[in-house]
Amino acid sequence: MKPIKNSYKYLKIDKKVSTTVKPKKSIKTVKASKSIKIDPVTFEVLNHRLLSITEEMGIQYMRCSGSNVLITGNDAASAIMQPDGGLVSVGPYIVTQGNVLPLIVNSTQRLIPKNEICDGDIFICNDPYLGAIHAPDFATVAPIFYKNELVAWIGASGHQLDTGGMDPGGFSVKAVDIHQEGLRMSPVKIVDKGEVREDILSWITNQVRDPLVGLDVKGQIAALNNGRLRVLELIDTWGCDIFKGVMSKSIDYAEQKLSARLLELADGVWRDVQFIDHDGHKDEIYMIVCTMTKKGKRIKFDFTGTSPNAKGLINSTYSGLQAAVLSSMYINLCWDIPWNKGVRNCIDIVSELGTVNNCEYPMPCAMATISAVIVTIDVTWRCLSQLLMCSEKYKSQSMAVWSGTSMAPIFAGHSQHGFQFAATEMSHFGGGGGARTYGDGVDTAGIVFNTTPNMPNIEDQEAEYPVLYLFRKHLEDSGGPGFYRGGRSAELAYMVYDAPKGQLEGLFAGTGAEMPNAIGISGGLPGAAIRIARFTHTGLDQSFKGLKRFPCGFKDIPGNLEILSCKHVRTPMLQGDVWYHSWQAGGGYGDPLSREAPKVVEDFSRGAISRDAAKNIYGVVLTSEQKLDVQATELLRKSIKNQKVIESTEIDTSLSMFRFQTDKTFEYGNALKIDGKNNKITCLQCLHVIGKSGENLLAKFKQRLTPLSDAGPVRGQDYEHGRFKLRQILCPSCGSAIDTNLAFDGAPPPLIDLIY
Amino acid sequence: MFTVAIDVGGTFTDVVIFDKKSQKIAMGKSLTTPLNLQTGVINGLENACEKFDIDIKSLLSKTERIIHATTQSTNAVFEFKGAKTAVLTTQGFEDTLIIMRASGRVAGLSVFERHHYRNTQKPRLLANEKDIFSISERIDYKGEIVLELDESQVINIVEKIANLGYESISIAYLFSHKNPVHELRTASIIKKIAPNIYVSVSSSIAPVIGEYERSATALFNGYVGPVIESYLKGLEKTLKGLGLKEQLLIVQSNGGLTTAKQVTPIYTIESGPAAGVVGAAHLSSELDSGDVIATDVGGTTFKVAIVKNGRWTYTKETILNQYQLRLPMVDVSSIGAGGGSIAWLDNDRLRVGPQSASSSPGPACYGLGGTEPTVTDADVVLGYISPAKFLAGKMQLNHSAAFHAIKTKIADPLFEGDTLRAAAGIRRVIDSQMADLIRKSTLERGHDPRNFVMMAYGGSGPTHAASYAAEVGCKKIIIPYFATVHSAYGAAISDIRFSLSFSDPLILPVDFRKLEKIYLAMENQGHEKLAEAGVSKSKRRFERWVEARYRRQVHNVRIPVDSKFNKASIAKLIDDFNKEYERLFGVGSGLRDAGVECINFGVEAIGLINKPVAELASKSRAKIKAESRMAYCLKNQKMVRHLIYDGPSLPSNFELSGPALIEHPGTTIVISANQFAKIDKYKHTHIHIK
Repeated sequence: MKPIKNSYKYLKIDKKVSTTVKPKKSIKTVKASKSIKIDPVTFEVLNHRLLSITEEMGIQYMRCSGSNVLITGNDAASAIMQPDGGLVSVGPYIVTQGNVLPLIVNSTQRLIPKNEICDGDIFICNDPYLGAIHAPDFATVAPIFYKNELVAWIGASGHQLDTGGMDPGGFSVKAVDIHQEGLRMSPVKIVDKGEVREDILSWITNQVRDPLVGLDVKGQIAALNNGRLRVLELIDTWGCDIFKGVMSKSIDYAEQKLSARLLELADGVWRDVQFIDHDGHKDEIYMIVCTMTKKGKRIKFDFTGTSPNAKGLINSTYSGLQAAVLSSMYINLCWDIPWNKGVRNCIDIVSELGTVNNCEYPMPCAMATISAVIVTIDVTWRCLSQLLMCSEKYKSQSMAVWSGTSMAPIFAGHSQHGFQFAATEMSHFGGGGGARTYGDGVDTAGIVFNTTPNMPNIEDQEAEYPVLYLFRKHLEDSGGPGFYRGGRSAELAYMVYDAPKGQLEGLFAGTGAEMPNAIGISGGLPGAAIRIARFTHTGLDQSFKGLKRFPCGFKDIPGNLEILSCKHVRTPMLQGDVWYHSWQAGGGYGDPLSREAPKVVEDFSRGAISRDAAKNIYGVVLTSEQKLDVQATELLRKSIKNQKVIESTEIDTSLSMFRFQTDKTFEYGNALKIDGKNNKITCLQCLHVIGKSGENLLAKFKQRLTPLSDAGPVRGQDYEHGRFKLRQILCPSCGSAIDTNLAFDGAPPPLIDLIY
Repeated sequence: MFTVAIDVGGTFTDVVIFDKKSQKIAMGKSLTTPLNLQTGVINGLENACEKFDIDIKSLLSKTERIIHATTQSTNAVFEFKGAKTAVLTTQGFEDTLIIMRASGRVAGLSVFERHHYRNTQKPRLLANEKDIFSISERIDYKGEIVLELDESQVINIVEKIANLGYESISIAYLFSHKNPVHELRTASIIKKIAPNIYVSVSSSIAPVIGEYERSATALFNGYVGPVIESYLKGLEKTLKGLGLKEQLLIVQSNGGLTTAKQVTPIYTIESGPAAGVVGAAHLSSELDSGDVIATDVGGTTFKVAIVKNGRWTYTKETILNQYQLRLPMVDVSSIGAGGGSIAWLDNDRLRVGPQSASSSPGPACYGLGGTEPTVTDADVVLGYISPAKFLAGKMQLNHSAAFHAIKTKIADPLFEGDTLRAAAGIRRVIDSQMADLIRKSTLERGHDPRNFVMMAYGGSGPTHAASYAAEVGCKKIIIPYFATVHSAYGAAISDIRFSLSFSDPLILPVDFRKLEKIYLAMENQGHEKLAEAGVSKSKRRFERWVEARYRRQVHNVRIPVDSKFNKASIAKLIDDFNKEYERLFGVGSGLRDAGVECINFGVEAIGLINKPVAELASKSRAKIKAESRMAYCLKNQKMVRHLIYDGPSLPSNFELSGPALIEHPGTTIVISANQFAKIDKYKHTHIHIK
């Protein structure tokens, strides 16, 4: 049921959209608009100034915010945009948020009559159907006028502590539409020609549970006011034409540099699929399918085949989808290219309205950032990593998927300081980094959409909230095993402590418990999934009388263990109960059986992996003195590989493709050697000739489907429905892994069809 | 009698000697000798002695104060040459120093570096899992013991650590800043079992909330502790062997001195730049110049600090090798920009830095094998730096190598072969990056740079200040006579200073006597420390401060508070806090209704010293000689004839108009076309920008 009365408001998207930005035309219009020639020195000086103004706006905003999500997680963004919303520069915090500010400008210009957009105005908006990613992200945008001409927009955006929805904290697990997710503002004037509209401000604070939201909005206003002055100063000194010229040149520069990079890379088609578990109502699996086509200097992401809208909060609107694709492109291909509209100009996005990452009004989407959006990043990430892996020049840039999801563990109640609070436990911002083609992934590296990750100190948490942590440490065996290991994630446990009412309430919104999302590359295994648990009847009470030591790990916690759903509705946290969660780690690179054995021993001695994993996953045998047993290891590795070949089966070649059509010679990860000159493709581990250029190698490879636990503990075992399998694509001769991914009934297998 | 100050920097060891009797000053410079810093120190002293025509022994035997700023701790940290250090932590939190709050992957990196995810990683760890041992104990947020310290476990582990050959142990338990009893007990057990192991206790080194930063600070202190102790002992022995009778005073990162005996090793890190800011603050008061932006341009970094009302500010967080520390440290911002910054092309963009040719191979003009064009090469091509007079003529620069590098790498591809325009472009780009950092640093701290005087020092500061000061809108530049040895000068005039702090969140209002008690305890501690340093009662000063925030907000703001609390003090504190908060973040940005919460309390315990008097310029105009050469004029965008003055010989009150250059040994002061300069009685150069 769509209420027709205000349907005009939503971002105009056809049923099946191909948001192609025609490259030639866009370049032409840009060129036409800047008749002025900018010399390289002026460009460099002003471009640096624009970046510096963007950063200052971000810093200023964050410094006066009261949102702990925003500050510990740096969950904010700032941007400078062209008059039509074209992104020029974005602040260094949450990447995905900066990408939405252009959409907010777009909606503002579409919905507010032109003569009502005036000098000194600031508009606020948080509607996911009008540009925001989810309702908690409040965005403000301000037009900048110079001599009565609209010359630019600036914007700021940040994650708020509450939106006034069903549940405190912004994540309403049982919501069935966006209206239950709280305050939903279409662009509203919060500053009118320089005057803050106190009526609007108090209307906002009236709608939310936490007064700090008002402070945060003021912080955005202050940041924009300053940013505006700084831009105007710049125009005063340099002139308006130069200012506009620098903005377009910055975009052109990004577009040209990315186009040139794309031209250097192989053409082809890559397909990958990723999953979201549980929609808040039912334990259903949603899949996001991405088919990436790279041809010449353009790249297309087609999400056809993605599951329909979910009933609950895991969806994302088009804003989130675009932000995800851009974030993935920025990180994977634009490490030295400005993150602006020039990148968007090289991309086509094809997606059907009414799917889980392009949902249709009025579907709820409060969890978008940590479900559909981040999972869309994962799926596009693996496609891009595999594209990079085929290039001698860029292979070193390729990387397995990072901590594939994020979470919102929320605890609320009365604090020891006598006020009501709803806090998000932000430790999961230390997700594991994906393994690289030249080294292990970084332990507790961060979450991909955040350039500046930050986990809270335990002392700050306990001084502020009535909880006591039993431990917070790296999670053993969490990093995706591989020739290079994925970075580790961590685990923690806490309990109610010193709470005036003796109890709190807990709520959990996370993704990726039944299956891991941090998939490896070149045969590397996935990192850990998430796990949420509660221990009751622990015998621990607040006095800890007679206790000799605290429990210091999952298995060490006494009491009755109860594994909680990754979408867990609000329930009481009682005195004496221990709440536990762990989050996702990074994917691995290359077959773990080929990892240098001394590195495996070192990992074991540092507690990064268990003895079991060393033996069963890495095939490394330790002596009773914890030293490497060289001979036994060699034998074991051989026998594991043999066993794998024996257990493997043929692959259905009608479902997918693994093909290289090329006359070039290069290595595919550390799995295959593509020898175009001699027209043969060999296994890099055993040198067996597998096939040749143009063949579907799946006809030659073997596959082995096993339980997810083969990748290690906490890969979804606690949530097992038997729906997922670990699929290893193997060399038919030696059993080395060529690729490892997840198999799910009805999901298309990954595909590679490269033309180079 | 002499006052001697020695500043060991990354490239040079600088020395300043004040002769009380003749009121003359000698400056000395030698190359820093990283393998044994003492050698460079002695060479520098000998170099300065030449100017007084005395030998080092007679200098040291007549020295009444000797002050030393060292990079020893910095070297140990960045070259991983510290002690083998074990860490004791609260069980369950043993990964704190490895998790590094996740931000350890990117801490201190620029935006551009952070954009390159794959290239970022956590630093090489000073202590990994194998060096970290967990102890069963727990204290809660109120400082109450939840779980007793397991002493038998401590004994077992310390015995093990001693057997494994560790030289140092760092102890950092949760909430030790609230209640250090478990840490202190652990330390005394270590002293008993393994008296030779150096012990670093987090609650003594960094008694502030935040276990990661406190643990990291303690770890770094443990890591550099044995190295600094033996270095200072060695140096003091050498100097005493050469006739020194006085004790060595050490510069700390808080901009004050301590005795070698009392030094907290990690507090010596980055002490040179801190001394530079102290020097700038002292000059601003002495010259009554108004508020100052202190800028230091070296070979690889550009540093900025703000001096307001003669005071510098302190940073809340120090980043070393991507670890985040809590140290009493002068607030200095920096970016990778300096004389060695390399110019390069990025498609059709002209980029400068952050890569630096540093001192080896150095800029192309050094002729040491460097082929990349640098900022110094641009300065040579533009005529600002005379190839013959670089480093007082000790090093001949190669003009044609500089020209060739800029022509082939930058001018041909981007400026139609116009090397002059390319060189001017390189300079413009780097100067505006510096201007952007100045703007950002001042605005972030709630200041408007146009209301400040620019002070510039370091080898390249005087050469570039004319441009970046004008760009941020300053009206005046001061180039200290000691510009090339400015940190040594700052060290010479520094007071003794102990920064004491205490962390205990308190929501206002509280009874003023409660605060007075907190401060008195710290002041008593300050008295003890000052007495130990030999400071007489009449020379002791105490400055109290508090770091507060609006309840539930995250960022602290530091403000000075009353030196003795009375009934009205609390209201005044709240009022001062509101004012400072609004100055920093804008009117109406604070949530006053939520209330003010004090987080950290501190006392600066200061022991005043008699400042040595600076040398006066001559009044005679007889010796003024000016040569001339072609140099680039920004205004006309071409080479024009510049008058060249010999700096040290200029008399007081001498005035000159730009475009002109004043050459000093080690640096050149550029005065642009619309600027005029005046020499003051202490030989400092004041440049006025029209």
